[in-house]
Amino acid sequence: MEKKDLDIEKKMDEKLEKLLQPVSPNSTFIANLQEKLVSRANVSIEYPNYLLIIIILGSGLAVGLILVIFINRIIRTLTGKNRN
Amino acid sequence: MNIQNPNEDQILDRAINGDEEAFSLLYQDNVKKIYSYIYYRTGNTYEAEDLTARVFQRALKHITRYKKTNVPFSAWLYRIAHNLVANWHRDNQRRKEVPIEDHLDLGSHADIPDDQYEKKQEVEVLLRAVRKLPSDRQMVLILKYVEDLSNKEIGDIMGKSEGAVKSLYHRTLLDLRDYLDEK
Repeated sequence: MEKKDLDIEKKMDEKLEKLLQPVSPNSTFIANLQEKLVSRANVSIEYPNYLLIIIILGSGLAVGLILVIFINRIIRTLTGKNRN
Repeated sequence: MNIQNPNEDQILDRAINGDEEAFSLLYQDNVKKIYSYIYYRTGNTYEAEDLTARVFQRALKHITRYKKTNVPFSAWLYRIAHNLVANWHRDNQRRKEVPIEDHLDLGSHADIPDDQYEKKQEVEVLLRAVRKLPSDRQMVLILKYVEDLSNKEIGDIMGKSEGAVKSLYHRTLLDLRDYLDEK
């Protein structure tokens, strides 16, 4: 490598050494992040109770069906009386 | 669990096995260097904090799958940081920087003597020039000057040979010179 290039490198090296110094993050940031990373969250995960869902839906459907039949009978009875 | 004076290898083993306190020790050892790297790559304190947090969150998520090699643990963190910074640059083509004033405490021209102002202008131009370099060259400079790592250590982190790092470094200095000459 030519001497001129070596001189340029040396000067650039000195400038960069002064310029690029370690930068410390805010100590509060460091502490907060550490806390977030390793703390155990007080959250309980609820998993759906599928059996309960089936029972409720089934019951709803059953009640609905019974209501439909009952209302249908009432309508037929009333319709039948009117014809008579 | 109280870890008293184990070497880094033991701490790493425990962290890989899910020991949060061990990971906490790794975090304390590495957070400043990762932050410094990201700060110089982004030029912004707020982004540096955000991306540093994401580096360690990602590391914590994947630590159990970390495979130990001859390369230091920090190399893995630097690679995560490098990738996140690359994504950040891609997603933020136009970003606001508050870089130089934040830590170099530059005054206005009226407040400081002309020669000092000129020096500070020079610093600004040099920093801008560094940030215009390709990401791998920025990484070489930051690891060399900020972390004071050897070419071999830098090569371990970047997955390059010592010779390749040395060559890259020399070319980078000459390119910086050419860029500054143009300015």
